[in-house]
Parts: sequence; C-alpha cells; structure tokens
Amino acid sequence: MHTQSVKNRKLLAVLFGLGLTALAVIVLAVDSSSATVERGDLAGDAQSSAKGEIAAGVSQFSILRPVDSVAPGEIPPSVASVLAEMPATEDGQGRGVVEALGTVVPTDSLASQITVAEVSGRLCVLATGNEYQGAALGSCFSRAEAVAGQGYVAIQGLAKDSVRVIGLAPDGVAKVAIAGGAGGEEVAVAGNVYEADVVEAPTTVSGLTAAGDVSFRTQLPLAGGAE
Amino acid sequence: MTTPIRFRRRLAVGALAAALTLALAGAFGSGRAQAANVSCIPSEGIWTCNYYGNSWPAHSELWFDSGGTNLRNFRVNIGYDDYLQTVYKCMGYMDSGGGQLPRPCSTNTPILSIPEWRRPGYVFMYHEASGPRNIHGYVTHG
Repeated sequence: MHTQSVKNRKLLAVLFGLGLTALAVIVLAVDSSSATVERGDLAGDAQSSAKGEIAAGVSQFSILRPVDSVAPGEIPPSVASVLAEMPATEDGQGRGVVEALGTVVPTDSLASQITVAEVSGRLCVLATGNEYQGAALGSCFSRAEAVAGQGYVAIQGLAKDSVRVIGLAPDGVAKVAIAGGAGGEEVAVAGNVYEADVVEAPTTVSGLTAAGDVSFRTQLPLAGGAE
Repeated sequence: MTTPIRFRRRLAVGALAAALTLALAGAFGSGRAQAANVSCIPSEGIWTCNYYGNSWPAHSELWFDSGGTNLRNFRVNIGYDDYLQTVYKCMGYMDSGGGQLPRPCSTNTPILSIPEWRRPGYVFMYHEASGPRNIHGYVTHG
C-alpha cells in the first residue's frame, strides 16, 4: 500500500509538472503570437502610411515624375542650369536635391515651356520661351502654398502694363477664373499649370474643378514696377 | 618696315579695347546710378547678397553689387525676405549695354537665370510695400 501510494504521488507530481510545462508553452506561444501581430501591425501601419504620403504627394501634382524617368532633352538648358545650383533651403543652405520633374510644352494657349520641379521638398515653376531672351524665370514655394494657389511666378517687362502669370494648380483643377483690372476670364489648366496675361493690378485667381467647385481662391498682388 | 605696322595695329586694337571698356563702364554706371548698392560676399562658391534695412521704399530698386567688381558675371539669383515671404517682390537684370531681361516677381522666391550672351550685368530687386525689409540674394557666377 505504501509503495502504491508513493507511485501515485510520483505520477501526480509528473503530471503536475507536465501540466505546468504545457501551460508555460501555451503562455509563451500566445505571448509570441500577440507580439508578432503587434509588430506586423506596426510594420503595416508604417508601410501604409508611407504609401499614403507618397500617393498623396503624387496625386496633388501628377505632372511630377521621378527624375530618372525624365529624359535630359526634356529640360531646357537654362532650367537645368538653375536646378543644378538650387539650394536645399529657402535661406540658401546646402545643395538642393531635385526629386521630381514635369514639363509642359508650348501650345496655342500657352506661350511658355514650363518646367515644374520638386527640389528638396519645395516646388518650383520655371518658364522658358522665345519671349524670355534665353533666360529662365521662376519661383519656388511650399507644396501647401501650391495647393492653395499661391505657387506662381508673375513675369513683368514683356508688355507695358501687363503681367504674365504662370501658376500651379493641384490635380482636379480644370481651369482658373481670373478676376482683375481687365475684368474676368477663364483659363484652362494643363498638366497642373496655367498661364495668363493680365493687367498689372491686384488679381484674384480661383481654381475650379470640372464641376465648377472652387478648389482654391487667392489674391496675387501683381502691382507696381520699379520707379 | 613690318615693326611699325604691327605696333600701329596693336595700338589701334588697344585703343579700341579701351574705348569699348569705357563705353561699357559708362553705360553700366548710368544704369546703376539710380539706386543704392548692396554688397555681396562670396561664400563656398555662392555670392550672398544681403540687405538689412529699416526702410526700403516701395518700387525703389535695390542693386546687388559684387564687391565693387563691375563686370561680375551673374547667373542665378534667388531672393527671399524675412517676412514669411509675404512681400511681393521682383528681380531684374541689366546687362552692360543697359538692356534688361523680363523680371520674375513673386511673394516667394523669384528666380532668374541669365543667359551667357547677356553677361556681364547687375541684378536688382524692388518690392511692393514700403517698410523695413531684410532681403537676401544668392548669386552664382561663372
């Protein structure tokens, strides 16, 4: 009887030990499984976030393409010269990195060849053409400013009392309504850019979708020449 | 016999060059006399032209002068102000013959590349609103 009792106790101890081991294995497995899920979620979030940002950026100005997909001949030499020497920051520090490019060639309604460039996170619009005497003229601004319709260069000196406005409009803007010194007119947007010759006076530019919704409305000073 | 002829030729060429230089300097000087200069300082290949002022009248030209060297070749100029880019400003360029290029204007950073055949020359800026302004231009030359 005593021997049998000892055997039973040993068996119980073994079973108890096996049970603890199994429990420990189960706990570890569950813990490992949940940790894997957490890491996966984080990785997934990071990936989707990065994709989302890239997609959002591209979708705002779809004229922009990766630099390596743009043939060198597409960019006028005067514009290439500017981009090669563009600083990284607004206060002239560092060397800027050209991240994306796009061009719009002259048409019946567009006198200039217009290059849009993303340089170290900022957008630039640069115009060349027969009327510019071999120069490239442009301006740089933040992406937010461009989305708000404040990405533009106004070119003076082409004609008396007239200013040529070349501006960026985000995806979805089909045309701009221009109201200024000479009344109002509508100009089509092609490849995220528009061009209009207006009277030298404060001018309101409204970006309109194909359905007529207002995407942005901004006022351009366009005032005054040098005395 | 050939030596005096060569000498005369050299003299003529020298006189022509001197006359041309004086003509260019005259045209340049008359163009620049209308406004104050702003000195520029070379830094790592870029000429930094700064203007810090309590007053800069609207529509008054501010000329960037690269340290007194009149025939400096400017190529690219990027100007911006310290007022959160709210001031509408234009950049111009006058070559040694007094000719000007079209002028880019913006509330942000106007940019102008200057074609080789237009050099040398001077870059100038003007703005829309009177008041204290800090304007910085970044100019490369070559």
